[in-house]
Amino acid sequence: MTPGPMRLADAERAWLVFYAALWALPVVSPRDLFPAMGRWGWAGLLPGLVLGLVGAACLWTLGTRASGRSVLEYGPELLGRAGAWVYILLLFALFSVGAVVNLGAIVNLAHVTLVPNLPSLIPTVILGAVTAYAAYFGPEAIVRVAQLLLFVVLPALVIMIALPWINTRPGQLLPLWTVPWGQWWHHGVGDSLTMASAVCLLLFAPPSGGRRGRRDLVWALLAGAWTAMVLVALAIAVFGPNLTAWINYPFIDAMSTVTWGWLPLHRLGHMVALVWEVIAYVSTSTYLWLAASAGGWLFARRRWRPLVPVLAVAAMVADALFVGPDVGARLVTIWLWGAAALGVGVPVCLAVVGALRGRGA
Amino acid sequence: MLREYSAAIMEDAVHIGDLCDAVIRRLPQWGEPLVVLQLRLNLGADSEFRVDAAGPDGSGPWLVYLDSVVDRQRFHREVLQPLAAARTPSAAMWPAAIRPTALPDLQSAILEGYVGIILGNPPDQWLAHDVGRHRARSVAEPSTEKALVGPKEGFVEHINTNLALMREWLPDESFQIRTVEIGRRSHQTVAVCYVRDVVRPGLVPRILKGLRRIRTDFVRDSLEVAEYLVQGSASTFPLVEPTERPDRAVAAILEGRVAILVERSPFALLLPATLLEFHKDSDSALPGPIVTAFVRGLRLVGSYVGVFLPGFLVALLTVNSAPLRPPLALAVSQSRSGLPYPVATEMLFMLVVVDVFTEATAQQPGGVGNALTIVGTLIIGQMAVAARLASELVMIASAAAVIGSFLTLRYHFGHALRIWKYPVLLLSAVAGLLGWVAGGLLLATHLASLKSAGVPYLAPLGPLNLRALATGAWGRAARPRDRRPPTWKPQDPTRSSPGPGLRGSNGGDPE
Repeated sequence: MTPGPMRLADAERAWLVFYAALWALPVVSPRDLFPAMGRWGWAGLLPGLVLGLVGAACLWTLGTRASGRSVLEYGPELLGRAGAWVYILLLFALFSVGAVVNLGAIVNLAHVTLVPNLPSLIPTVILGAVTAYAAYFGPEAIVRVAQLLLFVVLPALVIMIALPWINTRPGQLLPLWTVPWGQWWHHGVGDSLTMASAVCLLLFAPPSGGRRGRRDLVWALLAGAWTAMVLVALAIAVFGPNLTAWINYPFIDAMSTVTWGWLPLHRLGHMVALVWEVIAYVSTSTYLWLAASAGGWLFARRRWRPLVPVLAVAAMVADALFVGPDVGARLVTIWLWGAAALGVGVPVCLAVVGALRGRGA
Repeated sequence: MLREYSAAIMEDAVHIGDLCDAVIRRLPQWGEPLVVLQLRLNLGADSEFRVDAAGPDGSGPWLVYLDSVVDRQRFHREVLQPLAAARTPSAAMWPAAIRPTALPDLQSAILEGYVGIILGNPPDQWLAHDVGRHRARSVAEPSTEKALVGPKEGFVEHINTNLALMREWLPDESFQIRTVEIGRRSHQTVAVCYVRDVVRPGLVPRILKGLRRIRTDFVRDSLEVAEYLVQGSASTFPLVEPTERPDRAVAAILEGRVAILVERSPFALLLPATLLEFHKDSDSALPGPIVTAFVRGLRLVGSYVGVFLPGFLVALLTVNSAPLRPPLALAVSQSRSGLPYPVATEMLFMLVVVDVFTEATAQQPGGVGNALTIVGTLIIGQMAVAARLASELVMIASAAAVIGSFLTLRYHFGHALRIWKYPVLLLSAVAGLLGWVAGGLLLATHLASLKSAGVPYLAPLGPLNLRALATGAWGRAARPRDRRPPTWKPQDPTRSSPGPGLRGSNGGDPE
């Protein structure tokens, strides 16, 4: 039960990154993207993808240089005992905020799309308890659930991409090149930070060093970003850029417009929301585990599991109290910038320091 | 004097050792060897205990046995007749007899159906010859795992018969059996069977260690041994796979698993066990990979329909009715009009009633079980609908849930599925589709947290291994069949070389 790193296979690590990217991109990031980018909202995800790939490459290099160890193991070597303690304390705070933000996001998704008539406390408690249950069993159990759920998620994604085409008007994505480059990059920053939140789990899931692991990771980021871009583009093609900007979850509502002949159910947006809850569940429980793992290193050093329910309850209370959109948006901003700074920025610096020290030696 | 001592023994058992010594010291005039006297004292309380002096005018050799466990015909044929024919009895007369070197060994043999032949006082003149009455039913078709096509043999309660059945399937020197004795009083033999050059290194010592750790008077069944082996697991899902079929056990150990046979139990235990193994039927019953995939897929999906259908229906009818098409919603509301209870209460009530009926009929003899089924389905079910206490839709869903739980082909696994439909239903009643999916995630996480003998319970679905899925869990459904399933981490991953075989083609005859 040591708060060690995630000893995951290459494919397992890549699936977690794929889930994190897929969950965060279309749900967390487009809040500024659609109003600013209009019909080019989907392309706004591209800078995020590029920066995500750069961040992943840096983290990969750092982990490989540290012989496949996690930041919990190589941190004290590079930063010194006190420096590592401060850094991991900050990571603990970051992942705790991440757990709150992600739990809040899936509760909001559930509340808006599935249970608008229920008090938000009920989905908060249910989802908080379920994610805590997964986090309690650690990364191996989370990954296994993620892989099991692929048999639901992947067909659902195919359906989500295939079905709304009947309601699209591709002309709404035209004309091309009407958005200024500056605006494009400016709003792409938010998405790059989202990608950072997806790849920063590599801090605790060190690479194996093989080519296959690198390839799997790149594919995970590409697949996550491509799926998100297609979904965003579909939503714009269905609703048009102006209406899309006013809809909370446009790609889910795009499925709500679909009625398929022989199916006993219609308005499939509910089913899509369920699939997104599943994707979010994997990511949220991962962040909860990361927070507990960092906390275990900081406080107890051995037993991180008791921290999981404590952090889960704290996240639930925080989500129940911070219902206002301002506080929520501020937390999201802290989470995204924090993930970029601590999850990618600091490791890049560490990689540079490590390289310089190595050269000096 | 003996009566006095016997009375004293009965009154105060604490000093039995001292009293035995006293009796042995003071009664040399009996003429029996001391060992017979000791056996008389240790086993004599049993009314079936017999000491016969086989020699002329009541002298030795002495035959000591328990009348209840001895086959009288064998006793006469194999012991008394040779003794009567021989002038000077000697150990050479019973070449198959064992030679106990200490009193406890002799005593154990007698309790197991041997006759103790005491030629003299020193242990080298003791023999124990097996004339036991080994009652065992004949090998018959398994009652819990029937196969439409394929072998009809099933394990029985006699461990040597079961081992012989496996040996007949696998006359190979790499087939190994390690035995352990468990049961402080029952002294039952437990056999751990495996293929030496296939089984995962470290698995057999791990299982033997677990078996040696069992401290109990006796085990009633191999499933009790399974409980000891997975001690500490509070899961509703079985982590050890029981089977009644020798062919299945042999197939399992050839894949790299281990079979455990327990004396007096007709069920072998297969370790490690994974979720998909509980949904797997006999290969030979299904023709070809497509039919195999179809039937197994049907069984797999059907089993979980039983868990999720009631909750899904409740979620759609209570909280999330938007996805229902208007004609369907109208039909449902018409069928439910006039019912006094919410659909969740109705569903819960019906599921409990159906489960009660299932349990009531499961343990009853055929006639009573059939009668209960008729009462349950025809009278209570129809009357509940007629009295407007339950709607037809709920009746159908609850019946489908029960039928689904029996699609697993494993009785014990069905229990777990039957239990899990209740939390899913309750969560669905509270939070609709969100609760339903939360219930599913809880179940998935619970399954993901389990391991059986070091192998993840969800393997090869999680960790996802498509090759293992093709070669093991899905069996004949996909190629290649020449590899052993990597899930069990076998030492020798190759099952056989593909070879040319008989080539068949669609619509063509084999060459």
